[in-house]
Amino acid sequence: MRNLERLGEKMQLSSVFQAGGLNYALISDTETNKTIISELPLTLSEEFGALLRGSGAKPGSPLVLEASGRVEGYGVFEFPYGPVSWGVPEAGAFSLMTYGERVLKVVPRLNFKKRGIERAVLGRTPEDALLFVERSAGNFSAAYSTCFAAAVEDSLGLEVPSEARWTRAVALELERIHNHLYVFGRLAEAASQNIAATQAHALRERVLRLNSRHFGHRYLFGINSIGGVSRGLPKDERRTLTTEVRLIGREFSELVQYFLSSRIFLDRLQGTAKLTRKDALGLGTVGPSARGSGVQWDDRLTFPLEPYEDIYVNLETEDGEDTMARTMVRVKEVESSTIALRELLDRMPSDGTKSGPHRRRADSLGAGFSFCRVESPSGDLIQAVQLDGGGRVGSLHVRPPSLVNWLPFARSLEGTVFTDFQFAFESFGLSFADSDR
Amino acid sequence: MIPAYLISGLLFGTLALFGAGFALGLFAKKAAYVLGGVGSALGVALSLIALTSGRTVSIDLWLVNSTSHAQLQVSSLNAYFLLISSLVWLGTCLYSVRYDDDYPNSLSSLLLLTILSMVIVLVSGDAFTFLIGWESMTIASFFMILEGKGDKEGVRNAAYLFLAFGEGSSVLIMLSFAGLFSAAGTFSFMGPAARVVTPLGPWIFVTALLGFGLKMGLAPFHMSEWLPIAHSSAPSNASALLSSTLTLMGVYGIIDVVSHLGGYQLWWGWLALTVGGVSALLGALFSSVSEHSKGLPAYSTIENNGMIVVAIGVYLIATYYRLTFLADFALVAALFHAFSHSVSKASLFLLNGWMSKLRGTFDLTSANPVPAGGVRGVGAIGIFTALSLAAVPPLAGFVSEWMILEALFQSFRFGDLASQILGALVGAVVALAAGIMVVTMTKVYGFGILWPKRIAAPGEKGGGYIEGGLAYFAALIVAVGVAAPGVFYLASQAASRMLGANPYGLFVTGLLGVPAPFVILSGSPFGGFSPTFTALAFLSILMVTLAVAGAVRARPPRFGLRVRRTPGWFAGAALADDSSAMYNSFGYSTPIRVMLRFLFRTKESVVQVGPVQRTVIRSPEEYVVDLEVLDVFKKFYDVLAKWALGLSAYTSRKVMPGKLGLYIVYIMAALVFVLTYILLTAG
Repeated sequence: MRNLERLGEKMQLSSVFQAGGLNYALISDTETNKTIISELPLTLSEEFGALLRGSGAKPGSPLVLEASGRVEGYGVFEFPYGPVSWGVPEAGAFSLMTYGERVLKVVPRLNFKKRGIERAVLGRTPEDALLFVERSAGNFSAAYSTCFAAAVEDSLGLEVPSEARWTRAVALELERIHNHLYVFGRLAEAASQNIAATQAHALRERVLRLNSRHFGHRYLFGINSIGGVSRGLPKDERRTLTTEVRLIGREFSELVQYFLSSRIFLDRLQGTAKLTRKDALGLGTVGPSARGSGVQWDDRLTFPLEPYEDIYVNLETEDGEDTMARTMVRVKEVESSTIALRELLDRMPSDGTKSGPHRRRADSLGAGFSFCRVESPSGDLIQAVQLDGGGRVGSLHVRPPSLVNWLPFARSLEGTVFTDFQFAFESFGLSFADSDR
Repeated sequence: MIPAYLISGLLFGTLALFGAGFALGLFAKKAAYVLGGVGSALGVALSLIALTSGRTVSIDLWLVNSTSHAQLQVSSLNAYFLLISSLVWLGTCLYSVRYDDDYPNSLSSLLLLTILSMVIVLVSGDAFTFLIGWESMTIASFFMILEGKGDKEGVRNAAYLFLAFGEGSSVLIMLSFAGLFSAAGTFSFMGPAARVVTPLGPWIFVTALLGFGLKMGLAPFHMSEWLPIAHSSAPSNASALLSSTLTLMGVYGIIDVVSHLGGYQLWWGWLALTVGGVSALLGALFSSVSEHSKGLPAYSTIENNGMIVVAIGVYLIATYYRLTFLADFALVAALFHAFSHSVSKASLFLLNGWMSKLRGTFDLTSANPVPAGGVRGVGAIGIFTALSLAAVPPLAGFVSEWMILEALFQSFRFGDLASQILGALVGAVVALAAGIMVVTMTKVYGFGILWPKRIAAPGEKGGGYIEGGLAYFAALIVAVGVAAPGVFYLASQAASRMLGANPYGLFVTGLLGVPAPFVILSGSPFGGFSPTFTALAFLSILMVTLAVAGAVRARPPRFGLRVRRTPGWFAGAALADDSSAMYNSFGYSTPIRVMLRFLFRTKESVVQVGPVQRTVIRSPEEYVVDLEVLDVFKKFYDVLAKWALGLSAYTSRKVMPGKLGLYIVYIMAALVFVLTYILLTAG
């Protein structure tokens, strides 16, 4: 296949899924910003296939990601880190190969949190399935539910009103802001910058409270339904939300000014855990982590769902390839999200929040099949849904953003020292719940 | 009154026993070691009698020139060093009876010859006897190192390096003695002679410091100490002898030469402080990153000898400023530290030697298991050695390190700002070195003794001799700490010749309910400490704890106080069967290698070989991977050796090109030069 030969340079293999008994590859072309779906005749290496398909693993079965070859040498030993160790924030583990201090190789061990969402939703109605899907990873719940709803709506051929789509975008941007603030706070914690950490977490808490006030749930559960949103934003609420968000954005940029003048903080981030652009592309890195290495990909621009074609979103990238670059991408995205939010809330159409009567539509990949990509705070989330004849979920494939970021994370840590671990981990915005689902 | 013939009889008895052991060793090594042990016991008796009686006994052997006799002499100073050495030799001989099984007979013979030479060095009353002892000690040790079990090339290089440093040391000592002779007018100055004040003083002091410093492994000559021992993987009993008592001869030499000099200058003290401080820090740092079970204690010797020289430096400056109290204390501290270091270090070498033998490797990082039968009891005995060298109260090492630090803390009493600042700086450096040694001893005990997996397989057993030897040293270490006032008395007695009077009464008293003489004071007024009562306090805390634990165990289970056992776990996962595969000695000290890479010249490299990624970390004593990349000093000596080889090649080509006439002219010219020099200076 012509396209697959060029993988790793300009193109990323983003996901692999099955539809109508055939294997398909979902490829992101970073040059033309196109998503390419092509049949996949070649067999992928066992691990890479398992990584991208993912859904097959049963709860409790470990998934071990080997990023590179065997490491040997005088004094080299394996240091188990997690699942119950200080510094690993969730139930997940790593094997560090080291001769002390120097990290020679990192092997993430996943699936401690496997719940089997993709199996659990089989045979359920899409509305029920949505409740499962949005609980895959609480931090990314708006992205998950939007992605699932959009895929289902697409396969059902539902006409979703613009106001509902714009409201979803508001939720997505709020989610992005609170996640980026969280990552910033965690980085500050790792550098023992306690005031910066507390302030970032306080700002995040304000965003969470906005979520709660305007959408009824701090982590935006239950806002989406198939064919629309459960609640719209009235005019006056839009105005107060705009003001609040602008205020939070301003306070955050003040905090960032302090951050940029703290030599101690910067020292811990600059040059730490480098991920070259080549590795970023070759290992399929997504989201701010990829953009920190100069990869120009953002689903809002390259796979735009409805309001994103109409509003201005800046593609934030950095060339530093290090923790600092990844952090700066997130910092800048907080700003661009607040700007996008203002525009979204300003120009939001008022044509209702529920879909009308729906129509069927023929699809080349098979009836009832559809996929969707949504830019979650940590990057590209892909879901492919197959509805059966009765309108129930026949198969669901999820490719979480964290899953593909483990290998780049592990690669970036090679050659660093133990104390860099925390910075790399937080800057990639990794979540075990997300990748284990 | 102790009769003189008793002392001289004991002395000849000791010498005769060691001599007989040397001869017998060629045929029956176990018997030789028994003779050595008896000789050491006689040595202990002799030195204790000489020390407590304070008598000086000289035995003239023959006349060297009109003013000098070749003589043997026992005085309080050398009796003190003989006491330390004999105690070490006694334990070493006991241990060797079993340890020596897989070495040839010649080792026992050489070991006893080395001991015999050391006795001669110690009891020599004149420069010639001293140098005869010194030379035969060096040569016997050279052959002992050649018995090492390392690779052939390494052993040979190490032994020749030892010889080169040994001869360098001899030359410098001769230069120093020449200075003393020209000032005192006699070669018989090794015994108690009057102090000489001479313009040659700086010359004598510096050459003595360099010459004896070479033997003690002071920086920048520390290569002489660790390299022969580590690179040749010399036999452990030989290593114990080399690192503990051979360097002790250097300490004795410096103190003895200083005792004959008067009119100290301020900069002598500065020099001693600087050299000692640098040695202490370098020794501690290199020790902490060493993975060789012999190299690590050898580096630690450099650290300890550095501390002794620091104490001598304080003594010199304090004497210069007539701070009698501080000078006395510093000198006694140096002598005390020589005692506690020698017994602890010999013990550590023997301990490591036995563990290495059981593991079949000198590599602390190795995952080799040990037969459980061979280590039974060794760990419990060895903890005292490690704790003493880590300076944990109330053991031997702590008492003397406390004394040296207390002496340094009083550098504010010095008369000028430069000395005060230097004293404070060196104090900080010595404290740092002492702190690093805690990490090092944790490493050597943890990874050397506790960490190796124990297997039930039948293997070597100590047979009582190994355990006996180690237990003897452990008892000695505890005794030197707990009975510190007694050792303090002996050290004061040894120092009395230099100080004019025994300063014991000034420093040992009772305080705060602790009866005299159990409190050691470090100044008036300054610090005070009672090792004996600290030990008693520790012991009572331990007894109370054990009593409570026993009471809890004895209770019926209805009180809910039961012992529950669970499988071990690490980071939430079950502990691996073989915990030694998880974390190792190399990993323990790599942070230091990485952080101080400018000092260690650490080179890290990752070699990608196909799909396999190989990693290599190199640091100074990385003997496994690479022997060549060492510290900067080694580089310097390599260059020096190259020049020397080049020069001798040049001389053999140009100056001695096989033309007999030219060669004879060269010899005649040299002779004429020497004769002229003697004629000109004799008047």
